Order: sequence, then C-alpha cells, then structure tokens
Amino acid sequence: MRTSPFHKNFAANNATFANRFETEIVSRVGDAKNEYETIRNAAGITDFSFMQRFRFPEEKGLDFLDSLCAGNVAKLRFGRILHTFLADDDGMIIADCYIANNDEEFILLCESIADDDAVVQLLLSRGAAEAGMEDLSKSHALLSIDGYKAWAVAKELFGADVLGLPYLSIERYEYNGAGISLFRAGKTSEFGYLLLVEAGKTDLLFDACLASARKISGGLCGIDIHNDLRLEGRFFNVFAEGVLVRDPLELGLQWMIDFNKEQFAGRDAIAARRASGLSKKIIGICAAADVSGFTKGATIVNGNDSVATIVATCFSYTLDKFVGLALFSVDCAYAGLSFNLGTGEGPKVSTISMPPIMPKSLTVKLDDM
Amino acid sequence: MTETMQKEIEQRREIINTFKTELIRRLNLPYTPDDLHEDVALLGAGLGLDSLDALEIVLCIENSFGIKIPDENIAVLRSINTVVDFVISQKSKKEGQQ
Amino acid sequence: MRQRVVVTGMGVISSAGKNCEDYFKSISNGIPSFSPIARPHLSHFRATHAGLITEFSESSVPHGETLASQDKFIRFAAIAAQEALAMSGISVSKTSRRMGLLFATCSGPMQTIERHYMRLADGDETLTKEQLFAKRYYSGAMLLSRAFGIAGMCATVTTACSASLSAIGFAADLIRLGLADAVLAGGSDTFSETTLAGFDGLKATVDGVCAPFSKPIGLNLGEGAAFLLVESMEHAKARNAEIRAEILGFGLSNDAYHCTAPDPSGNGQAAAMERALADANTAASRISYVNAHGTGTEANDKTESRAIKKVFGSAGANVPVSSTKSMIGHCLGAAGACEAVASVLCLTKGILPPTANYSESREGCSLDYVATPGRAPAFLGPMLTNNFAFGGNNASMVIRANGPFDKCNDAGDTGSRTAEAVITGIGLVSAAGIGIEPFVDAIAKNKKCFVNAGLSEKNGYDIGTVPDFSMQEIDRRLDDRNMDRSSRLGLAAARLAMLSARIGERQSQRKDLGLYLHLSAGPSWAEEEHITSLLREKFAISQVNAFPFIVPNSVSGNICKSIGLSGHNTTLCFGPGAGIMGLGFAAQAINANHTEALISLSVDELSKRILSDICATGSLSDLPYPYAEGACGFVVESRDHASRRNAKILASLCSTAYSTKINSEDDPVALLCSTIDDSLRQANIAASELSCICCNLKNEHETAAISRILQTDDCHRIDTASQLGFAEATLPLYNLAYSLLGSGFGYASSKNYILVVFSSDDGINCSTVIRKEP
Repeated sequence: MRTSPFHKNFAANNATFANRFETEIVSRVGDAKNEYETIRNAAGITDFSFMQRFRFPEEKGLDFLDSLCAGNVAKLRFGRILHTFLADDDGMIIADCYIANNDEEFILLCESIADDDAVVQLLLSRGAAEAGMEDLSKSHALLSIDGYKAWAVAKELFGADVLGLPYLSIERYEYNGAGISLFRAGKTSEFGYLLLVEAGKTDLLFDACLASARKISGGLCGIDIHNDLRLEGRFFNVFAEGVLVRDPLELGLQWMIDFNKEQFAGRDAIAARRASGLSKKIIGICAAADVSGFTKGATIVNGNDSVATIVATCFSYTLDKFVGLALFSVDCAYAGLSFNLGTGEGPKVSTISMPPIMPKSLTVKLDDM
Repeated sequence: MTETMQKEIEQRREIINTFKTELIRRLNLPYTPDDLHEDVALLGAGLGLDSLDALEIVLCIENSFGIKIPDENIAVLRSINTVVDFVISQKSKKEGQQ
Repeated sequence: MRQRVVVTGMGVISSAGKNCEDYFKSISNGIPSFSPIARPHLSHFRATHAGLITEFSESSVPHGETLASQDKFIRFAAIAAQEALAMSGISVSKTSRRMGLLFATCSGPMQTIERHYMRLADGDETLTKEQLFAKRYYSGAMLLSRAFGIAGMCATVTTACSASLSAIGFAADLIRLGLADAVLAGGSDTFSETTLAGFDGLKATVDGVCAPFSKPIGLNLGEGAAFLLVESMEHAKARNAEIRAEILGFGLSNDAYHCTAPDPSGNGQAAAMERALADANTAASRISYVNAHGTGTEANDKTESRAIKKVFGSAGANVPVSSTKSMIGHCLGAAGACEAVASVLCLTKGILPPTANYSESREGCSLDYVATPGRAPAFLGPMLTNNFAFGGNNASMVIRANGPFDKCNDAGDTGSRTAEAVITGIGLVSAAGIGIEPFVDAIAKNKKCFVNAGLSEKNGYDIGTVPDFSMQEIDRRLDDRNMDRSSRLGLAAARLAMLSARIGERQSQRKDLGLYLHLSAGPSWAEEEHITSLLREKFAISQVNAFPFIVPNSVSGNICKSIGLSGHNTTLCFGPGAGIMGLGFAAQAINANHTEALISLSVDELSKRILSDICATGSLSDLPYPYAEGACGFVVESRDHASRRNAKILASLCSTAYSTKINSEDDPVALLCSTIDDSLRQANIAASELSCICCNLKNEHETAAISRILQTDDCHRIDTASQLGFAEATLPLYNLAYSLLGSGFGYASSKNYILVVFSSDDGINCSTVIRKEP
C-alpha cells in the first residue's frame, strides 16, 4: 500500500485511514457533519496524495496524452486544465483525469479504480516510457483546499493573484522555497485548489494551510466527505458511481469526449455504443431522511417493473434528505417522476434535476475580494 | 407506466429536445442532443460555457419558450435539467393564471 | 535622437460641449450631459439615457460642400478636427506630406450601414460605388484628409473602444521617429440604435445614468469626436505654437482572453499601463492622476481597479482616479481622444476632473476615486489615461499637461535609440493554397487560381478563394471552432509566419509577441447577422453572439486568444493596400522599441455579403483581375532580437512613405513619384540600387511612376495578381513575399533592394523600401 507524505501530519490530528486500491487514504478527520460544514462554510484541507500523478515533457507528452485520453489535449491552452477520463479498450472508465498544460510539461492527475501498478502498467503499455513519463506519485504529495472560503487560504499563502485564476487552470508558486504547482480545480462545487509539492517539503505547507484555514474556522477533512460533496454538486465520482457504472455514455460524460478525435483509448467501443444508442443512463434521485435501504445496489421499481439500480448515495445535510444516482432505463430517465424503493409498496423515491443544491460559492465573485 | 407518468415524460422530453437543439445551434456545440446529459453543468465545469454564452442561453429560453429569466437567477442555468424545471414551473404558473 | 512629441491643438464635440471651451466647463464642474433616448421602438431596452449631441447644426460642419452629405461620424470628426487645427494655428498646406491623419473609429459609418441593411430588408439590392465606399470604415479618414488637405499618411485605427488612444499613440511614434512633423489624431463615433441594442443585449447598459466605480452598475453610450494636433517639439517651437501637453509614452496589449470580457486578473490591462510607463521612462509613483477607462460596467470597473493596483503597488490606493464617461457616456472609438482632451484641458488648469454621480465605491473597486466637485492639487506630475476594448485590446498613455501647475521639469525621453526592423518569417494563405510551396508554385508556373463564383450576370465572375483547409494540419494546438472566415484565414497565416520564423515555439514565449492586423474592409458576417436580426425582430434582442464580432479587431482578438499573443497589438483598416501600409506601421513599432517582435498580418475575406455588395456596384467587371481573398503574415522583429535567437533574417525594412491625393486635379503620377522619392531618401538609397519592384502592372499610375523613377530598366517587376487575384489588403504583401521567396531575381551584392509600390483608386499611396538580406 502506498502511503502519503502527509500521513504523519494527518495522523497527528486524529485522522482515520483506509486502504483504497492499494493506496492509503485519509477517510475521516472527526465528525462527518463537521467536515461537511467545514467545506460548505469555510475551508477544508484534505490529503489528495492518493491521486496518481505523472509528468510528461511537452512535445512527446502531447502526442501520448492526446492518443490516450478522451478529451482534446492538443487544444488545451497554456495554463489550463482539461478534465477528461482514461478508458480501457472496451471504452470503460479506469480513471478520472486532470491534464494540466504547464507549457514545457503536462501533468496528469488520476483518480483511478485500479492500483498504482495497474495504472502505471497501462500507461507503459501504451508508450508512456517513450513519451518520457516521470512518475511523481511517490516523489510528490497533493494537498487540497476546498470550501466556500478556500480562496482566503490560497490568497494568504500565494498572494491576491490567486483570486484571478479561472476554474481549471494551473499556476506555479513558490512557498518557503518549495516550488508548488497550484491547480485551480475541485469537485465540491465550492472553491478548490490542489497543491502539488515535493514530498520532502510537505510540513511547512501543511502547517501553513492548516493555520490559515483555522483562522476562518476551517480545518482538516477526510476523503469520505468529498464523496458526499461531489454527489451534491453532481461531479462525476469514479470511486462512487464509477465503480458500478463504467460506461462514460451511461454516466453522462460525453462532454469529456472529443468525438472528432481519431484516436484515444476505448474510442472505437465508445463510438459503437454511441451509434447504437443508449439503453440506460444515470440520473439523480432523492428520498426522505427516514427511508431505510436507500443504498448502493438497491432496486427502484415502477409498480412491478424494476426500472433502475441505485449507484451512489449520500445524506445531504443541506436538503435534509437522501440524494443519490441511479442507473435508469432511458425511457423513464427523467427528473420529476416518482417511483418506489425495492417493491411497489416500498418508500417513495423521486427522480430529481441535478445538481440539487446551490452552493454559496456560486454566488460569490472572487474578484470583489 | 401510468398515463400520468407518460404525459409528464412526454412534456419534459419535448422541452428538453427543443432546448438542446436550440442550445447546440446557437452555441454551435460539437455534440448531438443525445450527447448532452440533462444534468451536465452548463457554465464553468462540464460544458465550460462562459458569461457571453450564458446571455445567449437566456435569450434562447426567452425565444424558445416565451419565458424570461431574471438577471440574478443564476441557479436556473446550472444544467439543462434546472433550465427545464424552470420552464415547466413558469409554464404551469402561466396556465394557472389563465 | 527621438523627437519630443507635443500637443498644440485640441478639438472636441460631445454631449458635454461642441468645442473645448464648453466641454471644459461641463467636465471640470462634473456636470453629466445625458439625455433620454426616447425612441418608442427602443423603449423595451434597459438603457434609457445616452450622451447625445443635441441641437446639432449642420452649418457648423466645415467643408460642408463635400462633407455635409456624409455619414454623421465624418461630420462630427470634421468639427473636432477643424477646432484642433485652428487651435494649433498650423498651416496644413505648408506641412505637405509631412503631415498625416490617424483617424479612429469603433463603429464607423454605422448609420449608413444600418440604412443599407434596411434597404436590403425591403428587397432593394442596389448599391452604388459611392454608397459602398461610404459603408467602409476607412471612408472617414480619406474624406477628412481631402477636406483638410492633409497630404501625408491617412490611416484608420479600428480597435473599438481603445481606438483613438491608440491613434494618438501611433501619431506620437511618427513624430518621435521623425517620419512626420505633425499628425492630426483622434476619433469619432455616432449613436447607433443597433450598437445600443448590442450593449443592451450584453446587459452592459444602465437604467438611468451611470456611476463608474459606484452605483448603479452599467454604462451609457455617448457619441462625439475629438482630435489632437500632435507635433514635434521642434516644429512647434519653430512656429511659436503654444504647447498644451506632451505625450511621454504609450503602451498596447491584448488580453488574449475573451471577445468581450476583460481578463479578470487584470494582467492584460496592467501590461498596457506598464508598457506605457516604460515607454515614457516614468515610474508609476510619479503619476499624479489616472483618467480611467471607467465605463461603469461591473467587469470593467473591477478589472481596471485591480490592474491599476497591480501597476501602482502600494501607491495604488492613493493615486486619484476618475472617469470622464460619467459625464459624456462611452463614446467608443472617440472615447480615448475625448478623455485625453478632457484631461489635458483640466490638468492645464490644475484641476483633476471628477467622476460625476460617484457616491460610494462598489464592491471590488477600492481606489481613490475623484468625486464631484473634482480636486485642485497644487502641482501635478504626468498623468496616465486608459482605454480598453472588445477583442482584448488595451491602450494606455502617459501625458504631461503643460501649464503653471506642471511640475514635470524633466523632458520627455529623447535619448532612446531606434531599433532596426527585420523580417524573419512569412505565412501565406492564398487562392493557391496554404503555405509557401503552393504559392511559389502557382506564380512560377503561372497558374490561375480562380473559381467561378456564380454571381448573377451572364456567365458569372471568377474569384480567388482559399481552398478548404484544416487548421490542425498547420498546428493541431490551434482551436478554430466557431471562428469566422477572416479569423481563420488570419490565424493560419499568423501561425505559419511564426513557424517559418521559429518564433514563439513555446506557448509561454508568446506573452510579449505582438500582432498588427491590417484590413481593407473588415469582416461582415456579424454585422449582417446582428443588424438583420434586429430589423427583422423590430429591435427585440434575440441573440447576443454576433454583436461582439462586428468590430474589425474581433479578428485580431480571436487570433490572439487562439495563439496566446498578448503583446503589442492593434487593428488598422487602411482600405486597399492595407497590408503594405501596415507593414510600415509594424516596422515603426519595432523602431520605437514598443516591442521586440510582432506579426504584421493582412487579411481579406470574400464573404457572400462583401461579394454581393461589390457585385451590386458593377465594379467586378471593371477590375483587370478577379477579386480574391487570402492572408499574409510577416514576422517583424528587431535585428538584435533576431540575432539573439539566431533567427534567419530574410530582409530588413528600410522605409515606408505615405501620401494622400488631396485635390482631384493633382497629378497622381507626380504624387506617387514624390512618395517613392520620399521612401528612397529615407532609406538613403538611389533608384539604381533597386533590383525588383512589386506593383500592380495594370495600374497605369504605378507603372508610369515607376518608369519615371527608374533611369534604366534592368529591374524585375513582380505582380502576382494574375495568378492569385486582387486581394485588396493582401496583394502587395503577396508580391513582396514572392520577391523574397521566389528565385531568379538576380540579387547582386550591390542590388538587393526591393521597392513595393501601392496606389489606390481613392488616392492613397504607399512606397516601401526593403533590403533583402545578403
């Protein structure tokens, strides 16, 4: 199992750890509701070192990544990040990817439902070595700052220019002698920053982030709460719905694909499925707070007919009810309908429009700060 | 499937299709209507549209459905589904008034 | 040594006054001058007020015999120009070709254009040559030159809302470099209903009256014109002219970010200010006042405030800032000149003009905004004035107002040396195809690259169109999705030029790379789309995605964004021959050290609208060659810069001379000969040193002038029009490109000079001397 360079920092703060695809993750730091509110109202610091990360030199990296991932890497502008995915030959998703264009290099960040070895083997089998791939998964660490006031932490550490960064951009900063690549990204629908730093230079950064976050009532968070926040914001989560549904078309991730591209991993299989049309897709659902059995794998029925399977759930503290995603047959995959959980007499489950909540961050204009 | 549900689906499908077709035409998006999942984010993440596109979407809704979106109501423009919800709610309001 | 650049005359017409005296009274007292728009068919707009020029007396228009029937933007301009010339007391006829005109406009003859679309909507497709000319952005400059007898350069700057400040800056360069003694520079724009609809659709307008940096948020449109008579200190002193201000420096940049919204980081705007300060050799801490672009929109005021803070550092909170638009509205292409005039008039009297209607600062705006009644500090250092525009164009200028309150005892920076401009790369997009190879091949083998356009009348006309091409084959990293034709052609040529010069190979190396775009007529799709949709819908706004692209500089904006060019940037509409005239401008940008490298780009598109217009006038059949589209880019850089990066230098740009035929009875051949002489003299060479001449062999004036200049005829003539057609702006550049790329012109060591001659039917001449690198 790969451990994180931030392990000791989180361990010292009573974090709970878990193993996910042979990578250690910080699953929780304290109470879930607290973590939720930390991010929705302040700033949460989370260890994102579980993401596999790779560096590629520009010219070779461009060819390699463009022929690998579904999105158009060639058209990614300097200083910007592409959100796309990596699929296998069957066109099934293996990893949710950020690709950042840092001019002389590309940085690939992966959230994978495969362990490090499998991901590296896959990349190597497609020519990553020839493309000059450098694996940063062990040499570097990733710390994320997310939340309604996450910008205040980033501003304190890196200066006011951080506020001008558009969503999905990359910028380099120096912090106490450590070179840091800052990814303006995030999947909580609040402000989000991912900091890539050398493994040996993590302590100062961690302390500064935590101290800054605490000033605004922020603190440390685990990964589990991110699963809930992603679902509330309808961000694709490869570790939730992505485990059960791996077809990008059923997941509604067509926007991550450049269908005009002649080559990327899984292209032919995806193109064939696209041509024949979808029979299922995931849509949002919700159920009252007192419903039991609103869990992954549960069946949703319409009368006696089974119409969907639940693939992701969470309890929304904002809405005070359960929300989730279910894989529906397309003829009834519409928001605003009522079904039952398990049997025709089961509790009511409604299909809903996503995202179901309006995060405060969307009402804030950073350039006012 | 009950008749009511069929009707609801039919109404929603029609609005979705009209909106998607217009959205693709006006913004010249490189997708077919089937490619656009109704929950995909319109602005920022997802389709990554910008503020000018947002204005175009507002006009698209005005022209396609005769429904105005107040300037500050950014919550409506989060996804195709949130737009469609708004259109349906405004339509039923109008029908209620008649 | 560089010449010092002074202002000796100013003229203005706006809602706040029809001359400098009235204008000063309103502005210095902070009196807004908006009136209700009050047009029933526009009553659904959010905008209710505009800075309109009321009680406009036609008899006040000078040279009424020729100008009274022209579009209002020309009449406004004539009034302001007349006042500036009169105030300066300059004798225009005495300065002859040593005086030029730099005219800026955003919307140009928009009222004339609107009327044309109304006729089209009524099914009237007729269009005379005069009507077509009147629709062109460059018509104003040509008519003004003729009316006032300005015989030197005649150019039109079309960078939308930053245009007139840029025009004043270019005028300053011409003076500094000794290329002119005096230049009349300024801009003009009129209130247009379709323009108002555009801003209203973008939700940029305010209900009522604007309050820049305060509330309510939004802008008022204005209208008007302003001109400055810019002169060399030497020339002004020699004729004992009163010196009203000195132009110390200016800076330009492109955001390379978005067609309408400013880059919220403020980096692009800050770059323009920093370049202006560097050009003036002045520290930000010495600036006493900033006349902001200050439109009143949320995006502008916030971004501009951030950019000012960036440039001024800790002093940013203390520098007084105000917006003249709070009183006259946004005069678009005239804004820069109107605001420069306002600033100089006030600062000369020791007054910092206020921002009318300013109560408290709005969110994101935290500078020292001057509220009514303005301020009167004891002494003043130099000021900075800003204008920003659609298409990402940013302009900033450092000016010193002369007078008893002036504490700038230092002279303008006269010591800077000038840099030599060289060509290091060529990008070609022509009817022959993409790149150098098909281009050279077509000319060498005399291939006629034309297709039948199938335009009405008998057998239809041939035109030269650029064959279909994929942008990704040029550079797969270029995104040309949703780009109009002009932008695509220009993008291809610009990128090809960069590739051939091996410049900006890394995306991060393009930050300081500039782009000059030179057009004849500009793109037409957005204009047609926006105006016809409004006319059809009776001014109900049904779309907003065409309006941002009406302005010609939207083409440059698209290209800059796609390649990532955020350096020195402008767009000029010279009319026919724009490419070669603009190449001279690009050389001046290098000479004056504004940038170390830029792409000088010329674009022609033959859209259906443009062809139909030309066809309607019947002039398709008049032309000896088929009309053509295309684009040509030259990478122009300083010799130092090229040497530092070991670039292969193709040629050096020695000189460019311009002239304008101001009287119909003048002998065009004699004038063209004088212009060629001017260019040879500036380049310090004799006609006998020319090895080849690029010209239009079917233009009698050009061939006659060339024969007269050349003593012996051992000189090659290059004219690619019979193979590639008549691309209005680009043709002279095709000729120049062929003279550099083609073989067999027998360049001997003593004869490696090339002359490019261009003379338009409108009486605009240009002669350029280029030295092929041995």
